[in-house]
Amino acid sequence: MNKKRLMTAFIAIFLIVALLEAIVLILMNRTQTMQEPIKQAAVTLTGLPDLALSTEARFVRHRTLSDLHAYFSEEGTLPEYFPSAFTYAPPPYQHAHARIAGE
Amino acid sequence: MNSKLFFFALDSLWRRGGKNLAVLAVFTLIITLLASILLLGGSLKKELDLTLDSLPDITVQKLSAGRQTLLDSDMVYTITSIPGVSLARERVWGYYYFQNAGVNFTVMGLDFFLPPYRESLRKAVEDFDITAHMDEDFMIVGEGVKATLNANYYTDFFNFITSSGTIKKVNLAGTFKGVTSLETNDVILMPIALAREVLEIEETLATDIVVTVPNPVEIPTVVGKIREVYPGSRVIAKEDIRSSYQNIFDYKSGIFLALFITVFFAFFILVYEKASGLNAAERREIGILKAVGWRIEDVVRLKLTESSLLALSAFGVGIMLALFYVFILEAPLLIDLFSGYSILKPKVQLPLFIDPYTIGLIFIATVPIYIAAVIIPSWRAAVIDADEVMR
Repeated sequence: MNKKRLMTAFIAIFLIVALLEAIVLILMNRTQTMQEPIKQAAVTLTGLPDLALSTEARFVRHRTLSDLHAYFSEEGTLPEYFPSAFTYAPPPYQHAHARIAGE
Repeated sequence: MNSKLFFFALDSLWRRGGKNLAVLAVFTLIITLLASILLLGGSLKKELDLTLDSLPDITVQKLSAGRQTLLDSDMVYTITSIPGVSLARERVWGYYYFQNAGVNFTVMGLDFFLPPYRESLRKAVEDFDITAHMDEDFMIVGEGVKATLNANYYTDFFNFITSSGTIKKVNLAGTFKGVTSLETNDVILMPIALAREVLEIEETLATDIVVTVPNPVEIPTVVGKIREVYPGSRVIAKEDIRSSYQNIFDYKSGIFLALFITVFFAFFILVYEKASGLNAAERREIGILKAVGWRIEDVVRLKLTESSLLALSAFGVGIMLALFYVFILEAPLLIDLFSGYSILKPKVQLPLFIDPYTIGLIFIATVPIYIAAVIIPSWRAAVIDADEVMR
């Protein structure tokens, strides 16, 4: 039966692709796990938090260490204007109502 | 499950092949998009968590007029004398704007001779031998910095221009390994004395102070004491950074909100179309089934099988596509949401991290809703008398 064959083909392709993908991801994971100590060593050297993914402004590059008022770095009435400001949230302890955990 | 019913359901899906294929395609696309963005966010969070333990226990900054300013180096002695503190160390770091390329570098001063760093240098930096650079000004740079400098014809040294206008020539001594580019892409590491010269920070001042507290239970007490001694300071413990990492992405507003609204709007159009009722042909089919002796629960079971087949295939294929897109293709286009305007973009190698809660959330938010939207109208048609439905 044509339909049955097509269905079997669909399931077979799905399973084969899923298996291949799983193998690739497992191998990837293994290499990444080996690279973890290198990343940790790099951060030990720099001692700096956050990712170098976006370096356009201090409040995204070193988000956790930035000023309480970094959003108004140019002038009090100027809102944030970098696109990354629409992606990253300020750290919780920079909200006016939040407190630093140690307090 | 009755295998005859299963194949009957397959036949039934096949009969309206074109329509079901369109629904499958849209459904898959929605799940792929939703899963990709959440997997990508989760992966970046994972990258942050990997290196969290390497960060200093406490960072002390000085605030003045709401801004961070340089602090007095002598604060180190007071902080070291607090019980529980094993080491307090001043840091000199800041940003250097390289005008030719329009990028900001992070310049970090480091005491290369401290024993804990020797091992880290060996691990994280490609062929670097400190003895070869003892009597010269040198720096270790991230991959992105190196690429930017090379593009501006600086291959083995760089001329820093300090704020007073003097030129400082610094040799390039090493590069961070490529795998660390998410952490070190924009970093320039140099001896503290040199960093002071480049950033023009006086001997008696420092950018911030990092404190080591061996017993994690004592950290809140130490934080409290530092705050008591220096009320004008901001003290950030590792726990604060952990909670900050947890909430790094603004899922409730901005770009994510726009994206989620689009995805859910598309999904609800799909569901609405299904839930708004069956068309005449589908009604007639249910009527005929009832006329040949099917019970209400048989009809509902048939529709359940049909819609589950469709929804589960869409979910399976969607998640697979998302995993492929994010982790194997490294999320082209979507990664730009996270890197913004930045010119110095690192070569991203996303760590594999699949959060079962995220996958479960996507499943619950889509599959049962779709199945319900198919079953309810069918049930409504099935409870009416057969001749009335067919008429």
